[in-house]
Amino acid sequence: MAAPPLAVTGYDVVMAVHIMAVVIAFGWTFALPLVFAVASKRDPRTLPVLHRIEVQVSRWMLNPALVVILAAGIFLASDGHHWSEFFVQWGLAAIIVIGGLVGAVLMPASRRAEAAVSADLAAWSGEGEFQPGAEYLAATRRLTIVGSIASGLVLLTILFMTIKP
Amino acid sequence: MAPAVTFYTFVLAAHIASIVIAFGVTFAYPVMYAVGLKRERRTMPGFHRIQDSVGKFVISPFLLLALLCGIYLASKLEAWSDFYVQWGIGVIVVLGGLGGAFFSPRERRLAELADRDVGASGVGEVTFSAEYVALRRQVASVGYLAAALVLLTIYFMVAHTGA
Repeated sequence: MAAPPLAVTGYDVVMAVHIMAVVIAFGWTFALPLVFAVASKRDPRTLPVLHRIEVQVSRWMLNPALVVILAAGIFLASDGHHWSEFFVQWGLAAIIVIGGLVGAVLMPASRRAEAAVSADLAAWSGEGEFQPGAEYLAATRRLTIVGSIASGLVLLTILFMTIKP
Repeated sequence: MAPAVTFYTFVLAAHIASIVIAFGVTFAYPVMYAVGLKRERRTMPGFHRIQDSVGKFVISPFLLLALLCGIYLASKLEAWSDFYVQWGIGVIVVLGGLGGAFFSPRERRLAELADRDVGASGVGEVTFSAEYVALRRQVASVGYLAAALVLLTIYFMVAHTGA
């Protein structure tokens, strides 16, 4: 194995931080469909706490990581003189759109889902399969649609950042 | 805008996306534990079952995809002798091994222990057994090490360390 020359440049470190922040900010959102499918089927009583966790992770992980992604992106675009390039402008717009969707749609919808499913569970005897009410289904439909759009945007942005069109 | 999509760049994007999808969720586990333990301890068995499912159906498949993309990229660049490639392959093997041999059986065991402790608490406040607490601490500690390994690997990949 070749000896690893650990030459560290500021650009490399900031680029690594930029990608680490993307992993931390968005990675967990891709697991949410499975998380809620398993919880609904096997442990419906975990649903309110899972929605609460969704809000807490958005607040304490996603939002700060978005700021890190943006700050690191600004450094990288300035250092590499890339401001006029499409992938930089797309990336900036994607961060703003995703941040807006999280704050204005996803977090409020998670709070509504938590309240609705808590009420549904309080009324559930525990016998038979749990059937959530219309309000919960409406909130989760919104979470699914907007969450899918945000996830698609993340994947498209990764593609644009890589191919640099 | 002149699109410059080559198969190589597409595979590189798939490699990065698969790492984001495979490992991102593990960074949320500490928050999941903290909120679950503070707000509703009775949900802990469900959390551990979710972790087990995420390991099987999210982490493992995307780890495999990251490995396949990495093999293609290293071959295309003829970079097999570079440190960052060997490190990356090593880390994927280690994390895959940990997933199958360490995390998965322990997450199932944690679910069983949590179920037992919640059941033993009846309708009162849930108190987890020393066995459960010790195992959860062990899983969390190795989880932190795995997360650190992921972050270090991202740095090596970006810097092409040893190229």
